Amino acid sequence: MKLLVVDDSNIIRSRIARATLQANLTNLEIVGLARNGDEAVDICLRRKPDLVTMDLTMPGMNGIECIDALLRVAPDLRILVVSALSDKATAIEALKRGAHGYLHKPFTDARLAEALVELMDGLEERHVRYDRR
Amino acid sequence: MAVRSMRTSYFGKYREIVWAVALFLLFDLAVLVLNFYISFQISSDALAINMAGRQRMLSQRMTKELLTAAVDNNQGIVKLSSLNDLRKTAMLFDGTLTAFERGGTIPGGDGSPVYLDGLKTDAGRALLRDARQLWQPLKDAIAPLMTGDIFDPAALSVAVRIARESNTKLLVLMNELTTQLEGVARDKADRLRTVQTVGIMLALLNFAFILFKFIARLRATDRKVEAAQQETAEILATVKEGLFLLDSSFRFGSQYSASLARILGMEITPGSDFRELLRQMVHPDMYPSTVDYINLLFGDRVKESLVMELNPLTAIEVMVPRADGSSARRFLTLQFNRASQVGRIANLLVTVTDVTEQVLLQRELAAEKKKSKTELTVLLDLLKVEPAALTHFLTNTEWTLIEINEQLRSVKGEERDYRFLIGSVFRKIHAIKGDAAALGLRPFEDLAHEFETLLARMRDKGSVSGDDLIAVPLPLDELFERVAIVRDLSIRLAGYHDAFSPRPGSEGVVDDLIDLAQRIATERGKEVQLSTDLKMLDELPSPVQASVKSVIVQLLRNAIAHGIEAAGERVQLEKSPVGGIYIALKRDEAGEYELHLRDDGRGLIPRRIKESLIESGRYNAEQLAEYDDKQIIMKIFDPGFSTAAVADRDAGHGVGMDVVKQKLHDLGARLRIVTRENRYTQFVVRFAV
Repeated sequence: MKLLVVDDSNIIRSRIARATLQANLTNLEIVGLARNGDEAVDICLRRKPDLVTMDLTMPGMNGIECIDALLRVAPDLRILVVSALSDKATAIEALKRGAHGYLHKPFTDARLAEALVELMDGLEERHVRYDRR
Repeated sequence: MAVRSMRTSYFGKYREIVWAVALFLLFDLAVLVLNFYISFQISSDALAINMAGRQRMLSQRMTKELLTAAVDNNQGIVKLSSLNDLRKTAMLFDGTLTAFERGGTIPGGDGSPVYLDGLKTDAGRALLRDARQLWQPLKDAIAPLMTGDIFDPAALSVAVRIARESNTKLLVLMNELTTQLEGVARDKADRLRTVQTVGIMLALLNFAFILFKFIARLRATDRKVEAAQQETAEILATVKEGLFLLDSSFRFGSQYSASLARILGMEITPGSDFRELLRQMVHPDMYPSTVDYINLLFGDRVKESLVMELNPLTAIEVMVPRADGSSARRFLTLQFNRASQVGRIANLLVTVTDVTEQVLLQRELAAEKKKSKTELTVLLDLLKVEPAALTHFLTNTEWTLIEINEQLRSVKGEERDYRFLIGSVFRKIHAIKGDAAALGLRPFEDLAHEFETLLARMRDKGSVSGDDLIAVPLPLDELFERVAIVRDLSIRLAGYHDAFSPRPGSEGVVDDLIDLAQRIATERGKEVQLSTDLKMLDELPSPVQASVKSVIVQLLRNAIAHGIEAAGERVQLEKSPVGGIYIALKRDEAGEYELHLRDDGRGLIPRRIKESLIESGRYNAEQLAEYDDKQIIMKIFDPGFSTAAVADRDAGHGVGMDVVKQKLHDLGARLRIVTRENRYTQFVVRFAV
């Protein structure tokens, strides 16, 4: 299982990566750390992740636009929104667009690991389908 | 996988009934097949009986036709038609007999061809052999009559003879054949009846078994369903949370907990639209997102546990109607959980919880945190402020706040009075703000500024009513509280000052008291002369010292406001125009301290106090008649007590005496009051350290 982390904050990207490694999740490998939406789409096409953690407030392409872009190239991608946004309406909109779950910042390592495990549930039985752009 | 196992278990549950029904159908099928088979055989037997009967008839007809031909021959007549009839009869008889022997198709009763089975029973075959033996000679004798166009009278004579000899025997044999065939058919009919009876009996037994099993199972299921329904009803009746099911078209389910109506403050109708309630509960801006959130839960894409945090219906503030028509502010949380049926999300279980207490506690906690933070800020500020200046600020501020409080209590109900009050309070708060800013006491400055802003809004309004003043006590209380916090902190800090800085002398306190006395006196157009002996204050521990100072400030303020008369009045009473106040702290031989505060004012007059008490509505004359003068005087310590002179808007009477009472209680002190009308009042406070 391959994970892509999308967040404009270096601290959060490192935090998620570290927490994921420390949680020792079987079959979960981090295949990319993206700083913005464009990088995320690029890594997604090259490394073909199964899971994505997605920040909502990013410069340039925002999280919701990024979700749209990623799902266009990988319709079966599972996306976990990780945001500190107090505006629930935006987060709900992200779910409507195709995200699968939401994790509020700040989070504990255990909570992140739980969320990733929950997100991976049932994913082993299939491969994420990628469409050519 | 789950579905298949469920089906397997379903089959397992009804296995007995399925087997019984299968057996029932098998019995029915077997009876039907046997029925068909035997019926077919009976039909075949009926044909055989019919044909055997025809043989009987044919044997007689043949004899009759031979005899007729013989009679005609004797009369010299040859009837070819008769011979033709004989030929047909003989051929039919022979063909039928052959069919009985080997089976074959023959003309039936109506001339159409029918198939006749060969007889298989031994007795039948024996009869046919006998019949063949009798028939063969007759057949041979008739044969010449049947072939050729030439009529042979000799052959007819032979045939007639043989017919006469075998006619009766043949008739008997055919008769026996008919009887035997009837017996066979009867046996088969009996067998069919038996098979039918047994089959139907078995089927009925089976049916009874099915019925019994089915009813027993239904009853067991009914009992379980009833028990489950009872349990559900009990749960729904007792659970504290509001519970109900919501379907994908946002309709309320038919069952819900008894608490739901209480929590929502309204009855819900099963089948009604939940969105109607939702519209009343959430802000219009949030309504679409809330509906989206619920719709997401009806889908299976998002993970339920990963969207809980986004629930917009968490601790939402609602006005819940009460039975008396009023409404109460409550905080509710509606939690949504998927309820799946056979792998499909059919409903959401909605749990409605009244979280008002938690929310209020959280807010209280947040307020406490803020307060602690404020305390810390104050503490840091206090460290920078010179203790004497701080004491002076606190005393003045407290005094000012008490004054404002009194003004609020005594204001008259006209707009002019309200405007005057607002202006006066504004000036006082502004002064506090300025003092706080000068000392660097930011939390005071901030609070005073907020208060000032509120007052400025009132002042700038077109008209002012009593309702506008309702908002004033809140910031006033906050300032009071802030003063209390700072006083408490300053007492605690006193220890540090004691340790790290030169101990403040009683001189500083005396200076503050002189300033305070002068300010109060000036505001009231009075003159006072303060003389003190408070050196002993230096001996007291800081907390005791603070309490004593507080008592002195309050008593001093009362003495000036109420005790000391205006200069003109004093002159009329042949007193010095300058009021005298003496404050002293002494220690006796037993080590106890005595605080004296004496003024040469009008004294405490029980009669006037009594009048005030009656006017305030707290007591009636009869009640007060039971009190002596001493008890009446002690009423000045009642919280909120004010004397008749309250009409003076700038002077709150009786203010602070309840504070004195509290402080005396804290000190464990005893109080003695000595007074004489128009002469003096002396308070003596005695306490030990």
